[in-house]
Amino acid sequence: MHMFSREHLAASSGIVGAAGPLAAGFALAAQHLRAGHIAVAFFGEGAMNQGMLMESLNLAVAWGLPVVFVCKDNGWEITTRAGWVTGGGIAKRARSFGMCVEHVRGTDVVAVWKAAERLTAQARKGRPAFLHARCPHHEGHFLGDPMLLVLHKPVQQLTQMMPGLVKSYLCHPGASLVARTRSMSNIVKALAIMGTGHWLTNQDPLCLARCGLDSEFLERTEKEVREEMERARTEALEDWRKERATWQ
Amino acid sequence: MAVMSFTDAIEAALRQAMAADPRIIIFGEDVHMLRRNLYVQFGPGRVKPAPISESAFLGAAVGAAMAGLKPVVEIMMIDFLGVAFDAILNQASKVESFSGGKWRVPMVVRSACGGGYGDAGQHEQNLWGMLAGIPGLAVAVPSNPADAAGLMLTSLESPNPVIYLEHKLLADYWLEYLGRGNRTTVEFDVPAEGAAGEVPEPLAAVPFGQARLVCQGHDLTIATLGVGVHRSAEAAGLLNVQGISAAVIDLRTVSPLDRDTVVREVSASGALLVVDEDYRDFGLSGELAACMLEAGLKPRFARVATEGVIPYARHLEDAALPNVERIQEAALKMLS
Ligand SMILES: Cc1ncc(C[n+]2csc(CCOP(=O)(O)OP(=O)(O)O)c2C)c(N)n1
Ligand SMILES: [Mg+2]
Repeated sequence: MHMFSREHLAASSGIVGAAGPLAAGFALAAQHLRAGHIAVAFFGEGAMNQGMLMESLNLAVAWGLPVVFVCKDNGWEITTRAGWVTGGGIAKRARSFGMCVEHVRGTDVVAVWKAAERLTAQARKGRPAFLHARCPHHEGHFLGDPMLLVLHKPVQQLTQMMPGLVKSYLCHPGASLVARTRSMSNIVKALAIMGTGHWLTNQDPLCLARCGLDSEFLERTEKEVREEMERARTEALEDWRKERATWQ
Repeated sequence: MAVMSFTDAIEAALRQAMAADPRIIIFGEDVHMLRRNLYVQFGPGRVKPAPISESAFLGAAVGAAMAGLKPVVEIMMIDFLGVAFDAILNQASKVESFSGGKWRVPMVVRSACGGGYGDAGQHEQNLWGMLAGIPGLAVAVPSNPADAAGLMLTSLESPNPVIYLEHKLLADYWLEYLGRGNRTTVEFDVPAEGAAGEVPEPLAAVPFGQARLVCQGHDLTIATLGVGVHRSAEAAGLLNVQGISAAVIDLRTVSPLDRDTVVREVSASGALLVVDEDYRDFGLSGELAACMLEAGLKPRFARVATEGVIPYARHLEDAALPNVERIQEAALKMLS
């Protein structure tokens, strides 16, 4: 949430949608200070309903900013299904601003790479672009995601949730039985969709991809990766020690 | 009396008011899960999940309130009000005055505030000082379940916009979602009397602008609210052992502010310590100092508040937020 690197011009925010205006500003600065550079904004499909992000799409087109907007669409906004609260289509919405829009499967690395190559080329010409990437929804929204708890610890979580729900279902006065039933079934439906998605996406794409590689290659590559990581870790620790020495 | 959690007390108040008044509706992000019991009892027509479009749905709450509904609109955390501030700053708070008192905006903005669970500066602010500074808004900050229910009832009866802030250390579900996250390895300093406690049956409304004397004392008056009440009460207990008798006042609402109670207590003790989890500068603590001067008092004065951006690292965060040691230290220094 709070990751920054001034050297890399990389920033993040805990405010949904904030990436839009920020990237527009980075793109504006690139236009003036770093010819040929572009800005990239990453956000979820939920952020597409945030005013400041939609305003940024328009601003980017109006000013011809070198920016690529990347929407990682996992279909969920914490515990809300995107479809419940979103009008029209995300890609269609972006297209209506006059942007160059592509749609990819977010887990297809090659497709993302190729689309990004085309879109960044567009952005460099001052034509803002938009990448709509369908993504799986891993492990809920946060560790305490109440829906995830229902999946992981069904007995504990349901004994906590059910009495309140049942009591509310029967408690008078309130909505008609039809309306109450609709509420109840919406909750159950959301849990079922999350449960199914969770089961499907937990077939880890890395594990699936590994299955297709020959074992000698795998062993060699993984050894290299481990060594590389160890080297990076040692270097980082060394840097940190040096820096700390300058504090004292 | 019934023992309830802070969260259940708020729900009980909403349940009672919604059953009596069909104009009350709830909307905001994820309310079908966050308020699932009310969602089931009152149906999807009266508890509506919203897109992440705070400026639209907060603005819509103002419009709906002007046209006859009583929305309880949820801004998940008060920090996020930033993206929708116009609805509060220029719409809700202005209508009564602009219409010569003929048109009012009965809406409640319910929002989580406060820190102490490792979520840092964009998720743990309090902002009640800034909000209470806007004429035309009431700002309520309950510190325990009875007040949580009582202030919610008053908020729902108010003809004018109310900001109702629930501290995340007191609201068990927020703490679970955001802080503990199903881990058993983390601990937070949750004030037990704030998170659960006795609530009168039937629920009793708590009027705005009426502070509560939590404990009496003659050497020093501590004015505070929210989680600060519990931190201050604990500090008062420790000070007592050191021979200092400190009164603790729970302000309960920042606007209207119960100046009279603070003035009365401080004119007896001659010393005011403000414990405010909101920012120190240009806020509640300075306001209370001004109130003392306006009342002709010249008490000794100190404040323990949040002085900068709230850090993420737990130990730094604990040091930045008003804590028992800082309160004790400030009191001792001020009286020495
Ligand atoms: C302005 C604002 N409103 C609400 C939130 C709380 N919040 C954090 S993430 C989130 C859902 C985001 O959904 P999406 O944009 O689809 O991203 P995802 O988490 O699915 O990747 C919400 C509502 C926030 N951080 N900022
Ligand atoms: Mg999403």
